[in-house]
Amino acid sequence: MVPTDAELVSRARGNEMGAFRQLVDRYKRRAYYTALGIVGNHHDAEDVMQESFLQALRSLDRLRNPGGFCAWLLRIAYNRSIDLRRRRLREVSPDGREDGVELFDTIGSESAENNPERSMRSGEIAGLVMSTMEKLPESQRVAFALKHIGQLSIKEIAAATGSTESTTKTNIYRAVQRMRKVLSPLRIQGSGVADERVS
Amino acid sequence: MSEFLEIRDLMISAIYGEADEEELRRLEAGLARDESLAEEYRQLRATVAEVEGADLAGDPGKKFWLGVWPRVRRGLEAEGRAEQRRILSGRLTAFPWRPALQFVFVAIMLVVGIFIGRFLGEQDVEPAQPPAPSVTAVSFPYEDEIEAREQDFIVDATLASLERSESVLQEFLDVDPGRWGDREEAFFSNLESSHNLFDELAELRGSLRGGRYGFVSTLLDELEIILGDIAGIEVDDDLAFEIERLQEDIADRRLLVRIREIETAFPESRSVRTLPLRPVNR
Repeated sequence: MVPTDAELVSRARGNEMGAFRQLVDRYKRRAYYTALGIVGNHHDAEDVMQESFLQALRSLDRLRNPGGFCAWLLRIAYNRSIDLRRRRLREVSPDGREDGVELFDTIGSESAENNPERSMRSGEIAGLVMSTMEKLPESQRVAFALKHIGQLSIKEIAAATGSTESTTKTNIYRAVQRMRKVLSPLRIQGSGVADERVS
Repeated sequence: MSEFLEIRDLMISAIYGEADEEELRRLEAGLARDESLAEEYRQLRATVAEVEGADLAGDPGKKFWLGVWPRVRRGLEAEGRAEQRRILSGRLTAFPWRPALQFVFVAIMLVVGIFIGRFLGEQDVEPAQPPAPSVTAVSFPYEDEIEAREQDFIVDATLASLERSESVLQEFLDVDPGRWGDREEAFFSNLESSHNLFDELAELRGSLRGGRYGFVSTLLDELEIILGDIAGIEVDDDLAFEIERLQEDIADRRLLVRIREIETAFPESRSVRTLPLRPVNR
């Protein structure tokens, strides 16, 4: 029988290493990709993930709802990622402006955006998406990144960012619209991606 | 909320597969009423499909995921030690006689220092030694033998790792897939040992040289895969299935039999040989 989060948290509060390990194994991917969605590079995401786990595990006593460990961890990872991203931005842009600053390890480049007909390969789409993401307002960028890189649900994104589900959906909608504009020239006619069915 | 905003929210929920049946029905009805919204929905879906088809994040690899828990555990242990030091230092700080004790300690150290200084001053000073003769570089006749002995050490280390791998695999084979939780600490300890061996075998495999160790390298390679899989096991709904799958894999590859064959082929430790009395002819 797989233990629930609440059971693991309760055992981890008793300093049981096996319970700590299970919590880490269960949520390492989500913590890592949540961080990656915001900080944009592997090394920073790795640091954020590790620090988030340490912070969450050492302050388990302060977690009021043990079943909400995941949301709590993701909130910690989100806050740490935002702090780190701002710190990195100050390093590369001392006036704090984000214009033109790219923190993501983009695969593609500006040239791909200017010559969209060049290629449809997924690596180039990824590069284009990443560079477009950097130009989005923070709330849209974070919501989109947590959805597509962090693979979080809308509810989880809302909880992590301290926002409502409706606002989160609006942010994702606007970000996807922006992506649509950027990617539409690349779209191959009749690729079969569009689907008329709702579900 | 206006109908447009509601439909827009429903579109996002539906595109990401997070809408329930009722929401999907409302969305379908809304899209049926407004062709421009239906078109927008198709466009958004196509865009999300394209973005999801592109690998935005990548996977940092198996070794990275395996290393997450050990790193966090080291961090927890380091924090535990720091906390103990902090508590201890807090207790010392709280001790009311601390400044007086510090003064007494410094005074004692001064007296001891003066005493030692005077005692040493009374000792005879040894005359200065003549400078050592300069060493001329000569070719070292045991080079080949040293290299051979290095390989012997590696073979010995490999045999030791194989012995530990054998017991780790045996312990894993003894786990009842449906009841791993009965001996949870032992189970996790087995995963931990597999992780350590996974790292160790990779290094040994890279160090073994020479065609005659080919079959050992092949075995190390396969052990590395299996031990990596065991170390990477995560506690989820598929855990019992995963344990069973790996147990079958271990049996199919005849890993325990092959380890014993190698142990029989190298029955004695090789690195205890002594160097020959004469240099090797070169």
